[in-house]
Amino acid sequence: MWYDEIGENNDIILSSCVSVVRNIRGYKFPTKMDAEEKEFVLTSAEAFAKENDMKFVRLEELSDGQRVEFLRHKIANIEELQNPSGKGLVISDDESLSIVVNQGNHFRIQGNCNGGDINSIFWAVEKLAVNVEKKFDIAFSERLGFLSSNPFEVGTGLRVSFIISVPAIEKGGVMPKVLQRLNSLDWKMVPYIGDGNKRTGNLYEVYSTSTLGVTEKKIYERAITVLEDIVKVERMCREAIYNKNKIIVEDQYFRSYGMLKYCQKLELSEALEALGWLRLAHSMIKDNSVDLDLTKINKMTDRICTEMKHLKGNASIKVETARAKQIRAILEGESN
Amino acid sequence: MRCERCGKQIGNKIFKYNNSYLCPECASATGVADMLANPFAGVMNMMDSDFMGAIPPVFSNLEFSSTRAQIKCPKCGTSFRDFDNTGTFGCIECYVAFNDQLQRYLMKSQPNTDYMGRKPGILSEGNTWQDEATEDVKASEEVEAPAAINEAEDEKLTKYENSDIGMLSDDDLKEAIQLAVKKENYMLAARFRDELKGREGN
Ligand SMILES: [Zn+2]
Ligand SMILES: [Zn+2]
Repeated sequence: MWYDEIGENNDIILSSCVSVVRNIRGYKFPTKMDAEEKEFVLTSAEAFAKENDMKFVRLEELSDGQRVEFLRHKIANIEELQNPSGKGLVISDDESLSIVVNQGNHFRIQGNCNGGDINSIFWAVEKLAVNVEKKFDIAFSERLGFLSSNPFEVGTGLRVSFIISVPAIEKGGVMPKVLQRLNSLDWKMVPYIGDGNKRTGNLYEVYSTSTLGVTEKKIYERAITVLEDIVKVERMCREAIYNKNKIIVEDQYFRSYGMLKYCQKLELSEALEALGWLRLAHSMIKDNSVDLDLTKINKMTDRICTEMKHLKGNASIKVETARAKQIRAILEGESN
Repeated sequence: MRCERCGKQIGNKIFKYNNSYLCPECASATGVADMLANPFAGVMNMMDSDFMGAIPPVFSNLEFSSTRAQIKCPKCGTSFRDFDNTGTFGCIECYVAFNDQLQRYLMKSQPNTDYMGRKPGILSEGNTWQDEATEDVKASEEVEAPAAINEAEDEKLTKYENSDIGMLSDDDLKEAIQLAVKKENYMLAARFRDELKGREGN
């Protein structure tokens, strides 16, 4: 499965997503469709899945376990899973490619990968989109391109996004520069998670915004530029921060590790801060007494993020205890 | 009042930061709520005004008036008010029904409003994209990448040049003048300046 693999630059780029929205001409968008029309789209999607050697599931029929898995792997989002009626999912064997059916648009074709290897998914998503376009009469205008329910996406209907963790850019004070750079490429950045009254802690989502005035190729090139810039700047900052403040960084690194390993309750913000330090210094500090690799750091980060997306009342002692337990288990080397 | 990030109507709790208005959900999702609660805390402070630049303008530029609110899509029944509340269309006919408002909004939110993507069902540039794209990007590897910034500025200026000058905001005009001067396109700069001056006259 794609999510079990360590991806390119996975110490900075946690995951990448490419998505394309498409709609069938002659049918209203899902919010205005009746049950019968939704059923037609679902059945068509099922047929499409068969022809393309993909699986098809109705979201209503998912077990709780499957729901959590799909959420964890960013294949479906919480809104889709909480309102599963009339919605479906077409999914490839390794789950790297999927099509969400009847959520917002008739089809959202998406590709996910760990790290920043979008080359592997971008073209796969585009090809899958082409197959969808060949099978259905797709809503398209010469002037505006592919029509979507959200006019923000009209045009190519194509979005690239990365979840990034950039503790050194943050601590080094170069965030304004990075934001400026993103702006010049028509990319945006938003904090990835927050817990209401604490800072979000070095996790961000960056995404492309232009769907008009750009070719697909241009969107791809800009995504690569964004990715390379972020990786380069974050790496530079990590080294600079470590070289200038060795003792402080090492102190924070070992403290963070100790805290995560032995804590009995864990606040979201302290977890993110600690993971930020581990991530920042991990490749530079060699110490055999710390049994830590990137897989574990990513797993902890991912666990915390997923949990954020479906747990309410994050400040409660119960949540904090559960969080601590999960993190300790990962550090102990839980099998899964 | 609509949230400038998600486009939904804001109830009684409004977050205002740097002249942007956000709903409680978006304010909390983007960290603005945290920042307002404690302006000296952590990273948000550092990002300051740049940070709001990171929040996508959604429907902040759509004017809302009662006559417009009555426009309805003949096919799906979506009214402009519905669109205003949800930020979404009900069917493709909505693109026709709300065309005027849409154009204004697209002008603001997209670098250029011409469709430049591929046609349905055709992977137009095929697999050659892959190799070409990777090489192009390798060539401009520098972090500061002046070439890429230049290009983005050129694009922006072209967008201003091609847009209906009367539709541009004062701030847009100011930026357009700066860009045009930077690119030594003084004729164009003068055109924008005249427009701006003309407005001040009124
Ligand atoms: Zn909002
Ligand atoms: Zn409509």
